[in-house]
Amino acid sequence: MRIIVFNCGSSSLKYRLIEMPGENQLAGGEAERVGPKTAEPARIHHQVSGRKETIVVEMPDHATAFAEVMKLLERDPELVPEAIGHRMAHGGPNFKQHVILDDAVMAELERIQELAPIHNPPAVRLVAACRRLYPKLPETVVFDTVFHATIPEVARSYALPAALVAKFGFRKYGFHGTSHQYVAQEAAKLLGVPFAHFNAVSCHLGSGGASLCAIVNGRSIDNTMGYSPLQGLVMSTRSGDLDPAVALTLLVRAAGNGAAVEAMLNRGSGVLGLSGMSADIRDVVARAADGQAADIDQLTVASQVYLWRIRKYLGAYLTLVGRAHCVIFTDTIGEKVPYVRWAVTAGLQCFGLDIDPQKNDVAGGLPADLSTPASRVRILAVATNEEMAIARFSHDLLSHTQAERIAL
Amino acid sequence: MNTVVLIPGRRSLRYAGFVDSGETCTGTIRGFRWQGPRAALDEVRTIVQAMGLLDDAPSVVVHGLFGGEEFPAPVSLGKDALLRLERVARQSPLHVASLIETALAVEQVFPGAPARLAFETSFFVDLPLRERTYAVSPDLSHKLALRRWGYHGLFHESAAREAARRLRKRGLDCPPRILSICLDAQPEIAAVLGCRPITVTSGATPLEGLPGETNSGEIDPAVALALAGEAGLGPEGANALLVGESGLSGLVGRRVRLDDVLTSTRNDCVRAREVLLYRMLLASGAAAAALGGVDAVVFSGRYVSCSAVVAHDVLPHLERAGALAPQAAQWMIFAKPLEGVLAETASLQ
Repeated sequence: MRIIVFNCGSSSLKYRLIEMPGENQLAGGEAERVGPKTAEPARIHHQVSGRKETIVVEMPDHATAFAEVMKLLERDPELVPEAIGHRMAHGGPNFKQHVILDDAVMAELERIQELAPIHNPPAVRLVAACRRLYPKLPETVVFDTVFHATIPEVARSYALPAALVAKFGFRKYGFHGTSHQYVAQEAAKLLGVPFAHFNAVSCHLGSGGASLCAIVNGRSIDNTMGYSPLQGLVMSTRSGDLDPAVALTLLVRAAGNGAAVEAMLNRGSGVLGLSGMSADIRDVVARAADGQAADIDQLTVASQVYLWRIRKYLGAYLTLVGRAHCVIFTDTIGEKVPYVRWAVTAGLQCFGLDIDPQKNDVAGGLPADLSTPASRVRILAVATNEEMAIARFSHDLLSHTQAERIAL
Repeated sequence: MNTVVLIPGRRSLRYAGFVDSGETCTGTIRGFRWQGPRAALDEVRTIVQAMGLLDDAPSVVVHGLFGGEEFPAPVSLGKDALLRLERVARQSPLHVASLIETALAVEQVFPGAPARLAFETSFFVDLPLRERTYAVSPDLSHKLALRRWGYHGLFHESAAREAARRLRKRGLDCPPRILSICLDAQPEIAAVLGCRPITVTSGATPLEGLPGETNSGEIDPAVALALAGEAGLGPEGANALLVGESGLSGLVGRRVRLDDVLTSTRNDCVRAREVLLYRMLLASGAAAAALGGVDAVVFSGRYVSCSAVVAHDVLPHLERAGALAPQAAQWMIFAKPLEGVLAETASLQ
């Protein structure tokens, strides 16, 4: 079955066409600058079997981008998709499983889209466009929050009055679930541990968002993100944890303009806010290490605050998990920045972590085990592949009846 | 040496009298805010005079919640201290204004008595930058004097010092890694290396961190904004709800104390207890990572009698993860009340 997986950003559309169950990637690419016109033209970077091409085409919305991508694929009968898999950031309180799209699912997607106002609405519009343009293609929706549906109530509860929680639904959801689950399954395979008995802390350190996930017996039991993706680690432009009184003080200073405060905390804080020079921790670490920068103190503090928050949550989750099989690093920073992996694990022998500096520095092909033989808890770098995970879930949904899936 | 300890609160004034290191009287003057500090202190003076504490010129120690970076240690009360208090008033207007009023009244009611101010935040003035800095722009941090503080520094400092002393006695010859758990109305956990704090759960205000009797503790900042916006409470209303109607009381659905929640057999307390212990477990793990392991666990605070409940729940997790040194499983209790801790600062003059 050829499944096209869509990962919808606010102004982009990434796609991969994957042959399942063989997991062969047949084509892929990204539509950029989707939406209102920008200084540069909208274009699609399309790739088939190593051949790359860039097509400049107007794409005022995601529906047009989708139609253009389908046109490219339909040039070759061997690349015509047989099913569509969508990534959805937020599944709200009711989607505890990934689903096959139908009218009821569509209605619920529309109802909950404001829970993730940046991520969900464009993805929901894309789902609607796919249904309209290709009504006979089966579609699935894979949620970042589903892996975290197993977070127990004690961990997902905020200490707020019950009536308020019931009315507004304030609770921890957790995000990056598709990635955490994918790399955890890969790590379990690597270590030869059945996933149902696999315990780990997964560190999804992206160049944008980042979160840690505590996993026990193959299930998520906590995630550093919360009701929204703002809570938790210091991210590229998000503050992460912040005293709620400070958020309210900022609101008073902004004369009640909540959108301005949300923008400041989501897009002007984190590594960018601290460093004042880049949202990418790699730039900050490199410039601080250079030792010549005039703003070296500020850069050093920025990198230390970023690393310290990860280290503290790592300790918290290792304590929660108990006997972890491994700590997993993934996504752009987790996979490609040895210094970050070293800085957050060094000196944690008490938790059974003993990173091998040489293995860590030269880790090229992933997955890689970066720990010394003496390390009780393995330290792994595993490449994430959310599109492959979505293709797997989609294939599973479309190949088995619900009863069969439960039996599996 | 005789000492009078004064702990001004939002509505009441707690006091205690000491002869040498022994407590001779203790009590609370209600209506402190309503009748003003002068009248309340006159009452205290009458009481301690009747106990004979004024026969030998006593020292007076006044408790301050927030002293900012102006006060890295206790200070003698006088013109200079008052000027410095005025400088930090902007950062914590309610607490500091009330403290200034109380300090002025102390000078009137106990004229000539050597008086000192001791602050909860002093212990945390030198918290490492990586711990005290929020991930917002330095300009904003500077404008708002934004940084992390701890608000039970007096307990943490005394308890950690006592734990370190006991560890030295047992032969530990490097700076001990101490997990300090303060069980108070607003509980707080700090990691202390030697005598220096490395982490603390509270934040720019006491609202952040562990859930308290009425404080929510840590929540997604987006929830705070949603309370003010979508829920229609506005910033002040949201703050009032998070500070006064949330936390353990919010979870239980009625006003509760921390010790009720930790020890009650009532069903309605179970969830609140589980949430609190869960957050304590995470905070302890984070502290252990900050320290690179834990040599000692020490409990303090008003509800220190509930230590066993927390210890039996949290410490086995630390032990299983490997973060607890074998001797640390024998957790310690620092039972001295806040009044006693403050009285000690008088003897340090």
